[in-house]
Amino acid sequence: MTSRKLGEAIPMRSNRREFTLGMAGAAGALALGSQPTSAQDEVEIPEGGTLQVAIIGEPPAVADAVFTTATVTNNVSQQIFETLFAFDSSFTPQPMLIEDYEGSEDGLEFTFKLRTDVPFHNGDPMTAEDVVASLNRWGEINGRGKLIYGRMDSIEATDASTVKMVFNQPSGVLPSFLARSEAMITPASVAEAAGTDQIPEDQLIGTGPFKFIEHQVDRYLRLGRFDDYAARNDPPNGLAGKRIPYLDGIDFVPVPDESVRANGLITGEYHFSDVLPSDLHEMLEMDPAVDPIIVQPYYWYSPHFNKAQGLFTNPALRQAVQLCFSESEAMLAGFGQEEFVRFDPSVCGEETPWYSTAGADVYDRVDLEQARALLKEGGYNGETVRWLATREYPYNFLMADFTRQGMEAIGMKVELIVSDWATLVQNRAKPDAYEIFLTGHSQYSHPATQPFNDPAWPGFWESEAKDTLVNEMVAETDLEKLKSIIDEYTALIWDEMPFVKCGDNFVLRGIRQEVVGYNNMPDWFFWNLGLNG
Amino acid sequence: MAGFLVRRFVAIIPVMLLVATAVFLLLKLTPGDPVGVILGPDATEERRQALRDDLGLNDPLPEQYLRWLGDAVRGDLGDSLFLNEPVLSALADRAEPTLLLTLLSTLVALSIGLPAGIIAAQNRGKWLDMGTMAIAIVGISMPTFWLGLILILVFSVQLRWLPVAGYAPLSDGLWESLRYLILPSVTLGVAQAALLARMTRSMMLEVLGAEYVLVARAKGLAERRVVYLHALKNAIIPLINVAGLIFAALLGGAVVTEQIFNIPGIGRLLIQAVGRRDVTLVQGSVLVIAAIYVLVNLLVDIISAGLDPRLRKTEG
Repeated sequence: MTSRKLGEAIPMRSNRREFTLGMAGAAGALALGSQPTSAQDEVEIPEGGTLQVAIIGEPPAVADAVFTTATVTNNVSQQIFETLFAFDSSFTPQPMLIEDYEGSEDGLEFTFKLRTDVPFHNGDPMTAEDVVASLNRWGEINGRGKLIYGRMDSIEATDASTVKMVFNQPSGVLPSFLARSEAMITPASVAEAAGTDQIPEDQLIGTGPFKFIEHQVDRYLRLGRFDDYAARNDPPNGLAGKRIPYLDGIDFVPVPDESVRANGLITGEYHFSDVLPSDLHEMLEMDPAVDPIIVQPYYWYSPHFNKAQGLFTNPALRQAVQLCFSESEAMLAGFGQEEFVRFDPSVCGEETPWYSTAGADVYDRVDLEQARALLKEGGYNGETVRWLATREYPYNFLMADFTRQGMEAIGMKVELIVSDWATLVQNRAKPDAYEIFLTGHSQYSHPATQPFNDPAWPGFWESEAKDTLVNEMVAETDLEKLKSIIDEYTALIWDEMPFVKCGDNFVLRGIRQEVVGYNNMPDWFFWNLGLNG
Repeated sequence: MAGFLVRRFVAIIPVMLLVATAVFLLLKLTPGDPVGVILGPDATEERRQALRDDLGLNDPLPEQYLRWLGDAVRGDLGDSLFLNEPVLSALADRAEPTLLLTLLSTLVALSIGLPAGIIAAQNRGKWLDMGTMAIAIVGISMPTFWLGLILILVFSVQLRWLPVAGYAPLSDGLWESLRYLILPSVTLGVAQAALLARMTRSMMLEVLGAEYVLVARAKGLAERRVVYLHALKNAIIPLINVAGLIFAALLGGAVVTEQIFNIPGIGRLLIQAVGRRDVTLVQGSVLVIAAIYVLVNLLVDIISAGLDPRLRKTEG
């Protein structure tokens, strides 16, 4: 292997042990490793080698992030495909496949000037036509794409490297949506041929630093370096900026069992492992060959009430439940260790531009007297609350069981209906099947993109006030104004109580010492990274 | 013999039909949504519904059953919902690791179980007999997943002699492939060895008490000749049955072991298919495993009948 110096800043500390311990520390070290650092932090990145990455399972639809919203697919996909924008370390969209763009002040018109020197893996140059065809597919099948296309009058390639989108309502959120891996750009022929179906493996052609090589289901998904990759020149920052593929390739190995992932990391069979059991944190820390990585922001968790039918159509009863248990204790019951949880009323992590402190006066307040009064006021008559839970994700059952005790303390009857996850997902879509279920949501997503804003999504949150605010969030182009809308939106959540946000959870991943240049973002990526030895 | 064979083959048909129907009904009565797993957590309800329509999951049950059965009879087990490939090719891709694992485990079971059973029988009532049988009881009672985890901890994590998990196909070289299969084969083989040892012991004891053994001994034959030539030959027929069952059980029952050792075989495929509610894949896998079971049984019957002419008449 040869070594090459990356001139621009690599988000990497010289002392890896310190780097990891720092991350494992308190909130002060937030987003460490994802901070853009200055040029003095230059690190030698070795070239070559194949990175062995243990992922949590076979990614649905392989790498087609338009077809599925599964996180593992999205993460794999962003090594192969690129988007018009990419998130920097503070989750702000920055140009990726575009040179520049212009948005009219009223948020109705966007003109994107594409980079002209970007080849696809098949050698063809990326053109405006490819972008239009790719976005059309996204607008047809992806939820967020649909939202955008529902407000759009036209999208056209005005010349080979310019795309113009015209909206009938202001849509300032567009860059944030276009920075998500699902808005990926493929050749027009690929997007058009796939339509609403998933892209076949031999058509997984993007512009990214790595290209698809081979897929052996349940054994590995192999990517190789794209030698003609056209890197940007601006310094790397999060997912944005210059990307250099130092590795010869990446093998994504599906390893569904988390203890197997941990053992494989310790013995060196894998260089990187996604989601590890958090109780292994200390053990990994003691192993000199491995660095544990705590990923924050990651997900937040909440019980969702069924608001379409039954008891919890009544907001008083939802508020009663919120008052009968401690949200922070529920998080600890679910996730155990304090370094993996954060107690916070916001639906966006404090690392993001969308953070809000609204609802802090309601969050984590326990008042059994008031809860009982609300039950009475709401006309609760001893009906059984059916709570859909699963032991497939231990936190899911543990948090449900903890909350159940609080509800029983104020005189509610609770039945935990325990099934596997696939059954739960099916049942939660049926309004007559339950009163409560619990799930997690991304802490690093624009709040307008959360699935529960859609009244058809399980939990069925219908609210005019919410619709108005979501519409304003989608429309707003000014960040300061957006922040005040998000404050209102967060306050509305704590007022209408469609769900009870319990807190944030961080996930544990692990990496071997021989890996150089890893950048700790919630969505992992393997460019600007090399292997020693 | 020909009549025997034909009768045995015809008897397979109702068994397979029963299995097919039971599997279909069980899966249809189990709740769970494959579409949720395929499309991920953020997919809209509208899109989920559209995919359910595409996959035919919204059709009436009898229609789905007849369509599936009709295709299965023609040898088409459909496409996996999740993997987007034909069920048969998904199964074929995973046959190699499962078959190798089964062969090696059977080998482990035979090479420990048979001698252990014979030695125990020869030393009936002595400490060697009791010791062997005590170990066998432990072997049978030990959960495979536990033994697997202990083996991984000792030989992979501590000693680093063998890989923790995974699989290398034969095309990567025999030794490379074996390295990955040693621990899982031992894990699976040990429990079966214990069972086999107990069976062998009782078969041998039965035969060793027979009159022709007494005659052989009276003739002054060496004890080794008596045991291995006269006794074992007669005890072998029930043992072939047991070995056949062990082989079939391993082929379909390596589910837990494949999961622990991350071996991309049929067992792991089946477990994942159940979790993903990949209905067609579960149906296809169970049907194929059942078919293998039935065929191995048939093969065992044929071998036994070949070895023992009495069976052709009585069982036929």
